[in-house]
Amino acid sequence: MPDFSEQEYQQLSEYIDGTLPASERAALEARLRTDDALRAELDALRDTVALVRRLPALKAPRDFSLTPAMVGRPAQPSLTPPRRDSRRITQFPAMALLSAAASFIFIVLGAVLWLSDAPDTSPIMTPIPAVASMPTTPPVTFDAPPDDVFDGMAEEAFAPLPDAEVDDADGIGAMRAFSAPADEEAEPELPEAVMQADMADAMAADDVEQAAEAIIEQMDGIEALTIEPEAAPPAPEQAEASADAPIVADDPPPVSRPARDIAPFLLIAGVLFALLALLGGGLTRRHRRS
Amino acid sequence: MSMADEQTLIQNAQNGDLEAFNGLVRNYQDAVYTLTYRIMGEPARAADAAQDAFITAFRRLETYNGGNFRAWLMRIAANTCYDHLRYEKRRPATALDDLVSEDYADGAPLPDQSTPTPEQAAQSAELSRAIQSCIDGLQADQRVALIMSDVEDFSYQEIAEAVGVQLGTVKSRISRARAALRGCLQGFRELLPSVYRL
Repeated sequence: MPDFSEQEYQQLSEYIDGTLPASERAALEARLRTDDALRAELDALRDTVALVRRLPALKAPRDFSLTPAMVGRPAQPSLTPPRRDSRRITQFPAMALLSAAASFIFIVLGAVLWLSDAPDTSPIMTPIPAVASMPTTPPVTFDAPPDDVFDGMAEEAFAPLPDAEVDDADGIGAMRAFSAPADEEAEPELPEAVMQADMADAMAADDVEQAAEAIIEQMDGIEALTIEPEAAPPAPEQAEASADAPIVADDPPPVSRPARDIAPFLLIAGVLFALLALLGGGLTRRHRRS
Repeated sequence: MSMADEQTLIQNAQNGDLEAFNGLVRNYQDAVYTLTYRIMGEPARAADAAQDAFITAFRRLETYNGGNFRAWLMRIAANTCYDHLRYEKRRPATALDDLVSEDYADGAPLPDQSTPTPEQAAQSAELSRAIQSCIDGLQADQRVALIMSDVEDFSYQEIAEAVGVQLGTVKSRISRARAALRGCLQGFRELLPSVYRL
């Protein structure tokens, strides 16, 4: 490699780039015509520049896209649709289709259960003899009692009741039997005013036990008033007659029907899924427009 | 990407739209990485410099007043590399004479673009690695000036403005870099095509 000065290399470099001033350019070209070593060095430098320029372009090893954190500020709404927008759009048709399918399944299932459990349209509802002959309890009715039932109720309410009746009904009698003295059995016969006076006396006398007993017995009287018409057990002959009575198919007993009970819920679920399917379809159209 | 699309992205990016700027990033990231790799000489450092260059470009978008966006971006990338190299100045530089016998197998993943046969592709890749090794052996300021001039075709004046030095300094750095590179490449004559007269 010939030994040229730094100024000569700079002239050659500028000559290659075409930036050498005209006066220097003419002087250099005159010297190149006579100096073979300088001309060879110029050719070598030209080839060096050509080799650098032929270096291939490289592919970035990763995506250099910036995140809000990189630029130190929160993300702002984009004016340019992001790349994953198309993927987001495809989620709404999927939601609509799945919801529609679920709606169809729920509605059909609910309708089938509802219709199949109807007593007058489906053959499967014909009473099976074995089931029809099973003893069942008569239907409980809540007919209003006749007016005369309440006649004289005020007098009967505080009438002395047999302990066994009340005790069997709610178990309070056992507690009373445990706490009440035996010589006070006649007190429940008192009318309300008398009872209140008796309670006041008991309180005035600081006899807590007696006050409690008076309250319990007053409650017994009230419960007897309200419970007695309903809690009266059927007469033995009535119960016997109802057990022996044949069950007629036209008047089936109110048995539980779980399938028919579920049907309304299935129908409601079907309607809800239908609404969800409509919502998914609407979102899909909205995103496609935008 | 058309010029109109690019201008739209630039305007949106100047209004703070990061996704629009990322559209520009995706369009120019190969060119920026190529520049940073040629200057930095190592993939990881080149990637760091490229990422920093895009961050700097986004923060300085208000200084772009039209014209060649690619040239504006490349100036920022080259200047970012120059800052990185100055920061790393404490590291000992490898002499050009040592590079001739140095193992240069850790070069950039160069793509095969103009090589019709596998043998020619291998020779071209090896030559590219040799050239890159010689470039890596240059002083940092000479390297930046050489790449900006001979790879990115910047003018002396543009290089001087980008790097922040006098025009004469740029001329000197380029001429020294070419002379040193020419001497380095003489050690790889067996790799060079016969048309080259090094």
